[in-house]
Amino acid sequence: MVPHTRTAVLLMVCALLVQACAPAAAPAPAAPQAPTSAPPVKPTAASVPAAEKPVAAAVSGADTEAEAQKLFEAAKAAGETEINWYTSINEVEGVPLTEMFGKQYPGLTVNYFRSSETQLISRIFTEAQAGKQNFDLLVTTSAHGLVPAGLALKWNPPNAAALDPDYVDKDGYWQPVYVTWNVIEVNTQLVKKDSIKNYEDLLKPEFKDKMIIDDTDYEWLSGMIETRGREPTLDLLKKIAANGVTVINGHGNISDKIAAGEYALAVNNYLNLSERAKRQGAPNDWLAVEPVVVQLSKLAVNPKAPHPNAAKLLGNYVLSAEAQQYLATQGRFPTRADVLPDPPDLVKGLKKYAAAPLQGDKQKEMEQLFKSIFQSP
Amino acid sequence: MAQAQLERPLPLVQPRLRAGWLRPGLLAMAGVSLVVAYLVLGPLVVLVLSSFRRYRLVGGIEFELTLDNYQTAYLNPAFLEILGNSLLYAAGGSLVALLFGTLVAWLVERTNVPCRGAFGFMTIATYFVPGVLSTIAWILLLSPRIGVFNNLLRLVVPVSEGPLNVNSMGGMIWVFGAHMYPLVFLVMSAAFRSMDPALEEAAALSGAGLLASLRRVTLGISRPALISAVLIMLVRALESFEVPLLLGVPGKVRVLTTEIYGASQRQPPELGVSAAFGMLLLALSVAGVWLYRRATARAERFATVTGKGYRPRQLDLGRWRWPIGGLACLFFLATFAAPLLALVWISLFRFVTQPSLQALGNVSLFNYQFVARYPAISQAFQNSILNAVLAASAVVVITGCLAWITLRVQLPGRWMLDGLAFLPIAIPGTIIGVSVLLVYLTLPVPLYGTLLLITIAHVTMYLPYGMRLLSDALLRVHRELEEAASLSGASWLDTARRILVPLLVPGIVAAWVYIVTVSFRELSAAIFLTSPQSRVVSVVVFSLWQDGNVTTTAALGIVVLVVLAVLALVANRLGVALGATR
Repeated sequence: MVPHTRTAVLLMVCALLVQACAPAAAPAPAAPQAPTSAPPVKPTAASVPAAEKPVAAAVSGADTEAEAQKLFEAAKAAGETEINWYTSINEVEGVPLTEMFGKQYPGLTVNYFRSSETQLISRIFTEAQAGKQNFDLLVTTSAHGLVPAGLALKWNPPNAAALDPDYVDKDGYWQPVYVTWNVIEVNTQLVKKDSIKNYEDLLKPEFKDKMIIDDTDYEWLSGMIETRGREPTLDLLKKIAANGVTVINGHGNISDKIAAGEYALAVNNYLNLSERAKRQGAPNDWLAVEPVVVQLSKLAVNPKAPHPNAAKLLGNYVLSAEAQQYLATQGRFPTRADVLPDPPDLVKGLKKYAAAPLQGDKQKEMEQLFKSIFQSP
Repeated sequence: MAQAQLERPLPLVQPRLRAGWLRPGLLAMAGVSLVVAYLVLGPLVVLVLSSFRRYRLVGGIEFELTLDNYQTAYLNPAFLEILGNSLLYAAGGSLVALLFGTLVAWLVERTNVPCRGAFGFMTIATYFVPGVLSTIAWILLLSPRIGVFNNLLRLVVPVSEGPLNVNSMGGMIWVFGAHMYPLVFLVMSAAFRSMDPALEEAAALSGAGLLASLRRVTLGISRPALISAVLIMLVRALESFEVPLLLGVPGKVRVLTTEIYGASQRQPPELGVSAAFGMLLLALSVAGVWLYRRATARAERFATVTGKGYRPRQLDLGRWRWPIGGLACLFFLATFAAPLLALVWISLFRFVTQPSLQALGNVSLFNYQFVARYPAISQAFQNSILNAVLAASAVVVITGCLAWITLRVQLPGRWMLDGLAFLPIAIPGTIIGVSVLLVYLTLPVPLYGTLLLITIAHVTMYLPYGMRLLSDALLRVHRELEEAASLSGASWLDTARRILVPLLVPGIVAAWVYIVTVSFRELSAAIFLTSPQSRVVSVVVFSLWQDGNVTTTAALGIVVLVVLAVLALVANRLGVALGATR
């Protein structure tokens, strides 16, 4: 097979395919909360005074605000009144964010378009192919996929200086919006949380055939290899797989299945999902093995955006302390160094490792490795 | 040979008929052909092109022509295993659905079994549950560790897990059959309803037993409908996605659709390989249509609604009436009530909770409150209903004309029209979504981003189903009725309005209800074409489920079921009323 093919990535397709639809690899967002009559949520617990953090001190808030204001003026001068925002952030979280933005920058309407990341990228490619520039801003885990297609603008948002430097794209084509932590998830009725200290503990006979994992955890695998070395990681994971790991599709599903007791533990799942289930009273809990592999949801601005200034303004807003604090209240992990998760000590002291976004041959290699380890389709 | 047979009868009358009928026939044919060609050829061209193209990302998007998509799809070492699994699953699932659907249709339409109305209603309602949720319900019932049925079975069978495992080929076939048989029921009950009982009476008089009469007469005459049902089931099973994803992936049963989906999870997405798989599906479907046409070629043989008076008669089951009714009750308890109860149960909790008395303390209406108060949902319901009704009505009108043309007008090339209208069955919804998107991104009409795009896509996707259901219905109506009307001086339009449409009402209602429900649930094209202004329910269900809110999704699924059930009841009333007044 020609290497190109391997790089090529497939969109799916079949009718019923998506019908059922399935979770793309995007980290599942927070629980639905019945909207209250006053949707814009005031940032609360998660906020930490900006000045406490050294990184934030590097850029003065006033300068940042002045630069954002310049973008706002430019958008008004160019007659821009709307922004087409493509995102996989769900409505429960996304709509209040657009309302907060609208309050801050009156006269700009956000056309919020939510879909799965695969569909979003397909749609953007389809539009680009037809020569129609429709999207202004994309926020999803695989936004970096627009870079090789020339569909991501290289720019430096005013708020970028406040971001945790671990997360930042050195080339400046995308910016990190929130962080997803990879942890072991357990059903506390079936597993004592402190009976697991590390991945080696998953080899115990008591967990035989009671473990589960998502079939797209390629970035986690890649991060494990980068932090633990290739051979030791593959050796360990193959032994765990031999102890009976069922592979399914969908991180949200995994959390549901752990809650139901269908499986005792997930070799890997997203922290926010486990935490959400736990807070709803489900017997779910999680434990992290250091260094904890984390991955990013990213934003990219269309270089040929129909509303270029407004696009940048919204992109910059998503990285603002206000927006990041709001996302934290929704169970997201902020990428700003000066905003803590909710509650602030959720991952306190845990050493993290940001896996490099997968692309091209590297992505293909990780997919193949994952499949061979867990014998998934 | 079929042609010859059709053209032979009524030599005296035929010339006059032709002169009068040819012109409207020709006009209708031209108009409808144009519409159908417009709807079908676009997606078809996109499908074929996509299968030979792939992206090259070189600081921009370029396409290159390549055979790599076919290599990736068909030279995969596991391809034969995957294809084998797909065919086994399709055959098994279709068989189960066919058995259940035909039996229930026969019981409801042709016998005096008790509670017929309730049985018919539960059958249709089974299909109203969105596919993801019906599969989840079966997991709750048949999962080896937590399945309710397994817990019950373990009271008598001494095993620690199981004994039934839903994550297997057997489980997949069962779940598909138990969820899809209502489609067979729709097709078969329409056929049974308009059947001349004289034939069964003749069989009885000639000494044929109940079974022999059922097999040789009832099913024999319904052969076109039966073959249609087989065809639709096979294709639906081949395209089936929810069941393989939720049960096949953990059970390590690989089928075509999950392979394609797995590939789609990669970045960046490309339609090439899925289109290459789509070509296989296209070939299989074209072969299916050809077989269908061969099997139903001598159409007049199946006409049971003739100029002679007919009224379908119910068979008296005698002393078997109650035992058979009891068995049917058990069947519905297992395939309708149990999955529904499982969904209702989890919809009452914040997370999936196993049935128990202690759990009752945590019951809440949180999920229903969420569904009621979430602003996008009520808007989505309005959009979905409008879209489904528009799409179903358009399909019924278009395919009604098409069926009449292909079966009644003696013109060469009409089989091509039939074939054309059937092709979309082989084109994956995503491809149709992409092509509609492309067309309206390019054409200077201001439809981009509106609900109509979804409607257009759905009309294209459901032409084949409308075509099969209405052709079957028309096949059963003997042309002598139209000829009689024509001889009595009725115009073409009058004949259609006063003779044909009323006689076709069962078929029309079946097609309409079917298309409304599938359109309501359709996601793959809709998700491509949706916009903030044209959000539909299936997309919202998808979003919720994708986000891992299975209990909220269950609550929304229950609401969808109720809405669709009301729609179906109204349609049915309307159908009955239409049929009665003419």
